[in-house]
Amino acid sequence: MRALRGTLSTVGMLLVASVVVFAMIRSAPGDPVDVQLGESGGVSLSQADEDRIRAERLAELGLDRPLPEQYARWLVRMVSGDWGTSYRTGQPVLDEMLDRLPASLALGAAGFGVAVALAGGLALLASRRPGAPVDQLVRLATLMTVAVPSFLLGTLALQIATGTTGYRIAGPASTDRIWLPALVLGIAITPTMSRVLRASLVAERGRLYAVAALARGASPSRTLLRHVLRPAVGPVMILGGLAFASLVTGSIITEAVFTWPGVGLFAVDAIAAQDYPVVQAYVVLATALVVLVNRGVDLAGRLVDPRQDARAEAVA
Amino acid sequence: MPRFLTLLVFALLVSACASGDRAADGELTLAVAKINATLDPTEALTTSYLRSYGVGESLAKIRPDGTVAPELAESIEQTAPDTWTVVLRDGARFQSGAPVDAEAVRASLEHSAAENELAGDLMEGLTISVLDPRTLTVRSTGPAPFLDYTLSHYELQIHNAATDADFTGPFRVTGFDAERELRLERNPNWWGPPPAVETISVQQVADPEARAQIALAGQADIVDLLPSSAVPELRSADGLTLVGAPAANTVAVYLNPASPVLADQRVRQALAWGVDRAAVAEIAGEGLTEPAPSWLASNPAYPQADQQGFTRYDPDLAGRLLDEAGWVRGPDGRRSKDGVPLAIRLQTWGTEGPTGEVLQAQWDALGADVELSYVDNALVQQARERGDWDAQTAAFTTLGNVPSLFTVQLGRGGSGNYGKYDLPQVAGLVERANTATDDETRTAAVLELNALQAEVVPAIPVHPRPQATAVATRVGGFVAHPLQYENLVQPGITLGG
Repeated sequence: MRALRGTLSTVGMLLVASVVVFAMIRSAPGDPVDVQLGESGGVSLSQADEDRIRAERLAELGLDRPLPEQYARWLVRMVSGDWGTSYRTGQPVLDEMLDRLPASLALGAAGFGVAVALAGGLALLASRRPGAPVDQLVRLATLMTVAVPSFLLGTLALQIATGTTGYRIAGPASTDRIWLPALVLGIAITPTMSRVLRASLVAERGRLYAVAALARGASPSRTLLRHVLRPAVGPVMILGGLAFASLVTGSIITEAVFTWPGVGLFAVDAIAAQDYPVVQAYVVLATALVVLVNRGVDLAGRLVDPRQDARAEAVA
Repeated sequence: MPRFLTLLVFALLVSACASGDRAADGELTLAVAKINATLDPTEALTTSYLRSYGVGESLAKIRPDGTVAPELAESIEQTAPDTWTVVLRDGARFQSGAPVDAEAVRASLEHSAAENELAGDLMEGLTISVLDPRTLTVRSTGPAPFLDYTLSHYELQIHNAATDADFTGPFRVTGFDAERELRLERNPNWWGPPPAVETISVQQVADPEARAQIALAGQADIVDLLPSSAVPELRSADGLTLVGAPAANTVAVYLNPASPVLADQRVRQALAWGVDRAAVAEIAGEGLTEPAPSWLASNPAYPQADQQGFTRYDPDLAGRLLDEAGWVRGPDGRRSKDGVPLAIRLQTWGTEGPTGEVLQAQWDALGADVELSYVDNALVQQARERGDWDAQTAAFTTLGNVPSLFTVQLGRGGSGNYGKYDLPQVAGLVERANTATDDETRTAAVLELNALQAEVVPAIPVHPRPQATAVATRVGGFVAHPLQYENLVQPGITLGG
């Protein structure tokens, strides 16, 4: 029953997201033909010719039909596995997405790994003595980091890395290029994760079971590892799951700055060109990923802390 | 899911091996703002990139000085007022080895016209006749003195209509990853002497700051469309030369005469005289562009246009014109008429943001209030469609079939006539330019059109769009071109060291 409810809710979310993005992109000024004609400044067209060409092209793309019909056609095709064809590249959108998704997944995973390592280390350091100078220092550092926009962080990192390490800016997705955007992405989400984990660790350390463990002679590090860490990680897992999903699909600025050939960069170009099939597919993909990761996090949370299951059953 | 994981691991491993290699000595590397999305020669704009990277050619090409020279054609001559005769190069071949004869050229042009709307517009009213395997004629419905410019257009690039992506340029495609990378090698079938460069790698780097870093780090031989903000650093950098050829397009402020403030021609003229173009070029263009006193001034084929229009910065004359028009200064220095302030909404987009900022300051000194907004091009178009606009920046190409370009700017229904000006003189002057039997008369008619533009001021010319390209010092033979899409890769390029 729960599985059925979950599936229905997932489908519902995807439908709502697709309607919202469809309405948003179609209410934006201009259309793909405007973009194409606008870029062709070297060709001298009369207004009548431009109008004729626009009408022909709109009909060719099916954009002259009523909006509900356009949406219905797109939805039917999407469900049947035909995600349409990119207006710019002329290639099937699904192929284009599958071609770029591995690069985005790799970058998201690497950035997430960096964030987990940094946030974990900082939270452990800060939570040892709440309010102590180290805790204050970590707090200050995380506040400062969160205030820096990611494009600025990325541009600065790029300048430093090209000057000092010879970091190669352009090229395919590769292991010798991934470390820098991953570092920037990881640093960008570290402050939030580390603050949540620190708060969670401090709270769990103050609970009776942790105090009792210490009173029974367990060392602080053993108490942390054996008793405190597991329940403290719960809230961070939810946050981390959402962060991972946003790293994969939302690291658009980082992908642009580092010329990382992922789906984000592809989507940016698609938005600029009003390449509707690509933008719509991207949003559906991003929503699906967020939903999937959410479900995965729920599952993992129950494995890490079985009390969640008990609480859920009690509520039911 | 297993397919994904396999793809993921495979992509990373393969590319890790590939990307670790530095470019070979004989390889020319480019980092550019954009590469083509397809290799389809009939897809709009694809051919502009293919020409830029040395893959494709037209029958003729526009030279940096604005004149036309044969390219794939050995000669291209006007043999009657409405007819041009084209003789193809002896032994010319497509990159596949198939012969480029007159029938193949006709098939290519007709294929482009049928499949590409813009090419179709260029070819409208033209009839192609094959005289022999190397000779063909192109006939127009009327006098066509500028047809050689039309045949130079990138949308009329010659391709093998019988197959996919078979061109005639000095380099041929060996690898293509849409909007990411284009790999090329020397074309053994090219009609000219073999290029010195063996292979070429063109990578798309959309972010302008990233391109600037690539240029500074010496990670590419040629880097195009660099941001103005990086120009000072690039100028002082070692190992590269910053080439800043102004483009053959004029950034102009288009004015809406339906706006109550701008209906009076004297106000439009005043705003034009109140522009210190040298300062705009220096500040907004980082010295990589120059003043354009008239609309045609960015066209190198008409140096006389530099002496037309707003040849000096004259704020006094601007003030007098505004006074005459009734827009007088108040005690606060701001101008108004019948209680209505002299206020203008100026919209800029794309690379014209800095130009708008300098203009705002200069017109403020005239006593005008300028509300400046930097918006997306779609919003600019929308405002135009609604008629709800005062002033907008735009840049149109000035090099090509000039009478036709003026028709677009000034003619009734012209797509660049944003303010819908109705100037009865235009059609007659265009006719005179097209039917003139000698160059002198033709040029005089063109310059009269340019003078008319400066008198009516449907748009205030400011400067050509700057084109900043970084070229590594090891690259020899690079020639800057005022047309952005003309041969970033040239067959004469050499690689030293």
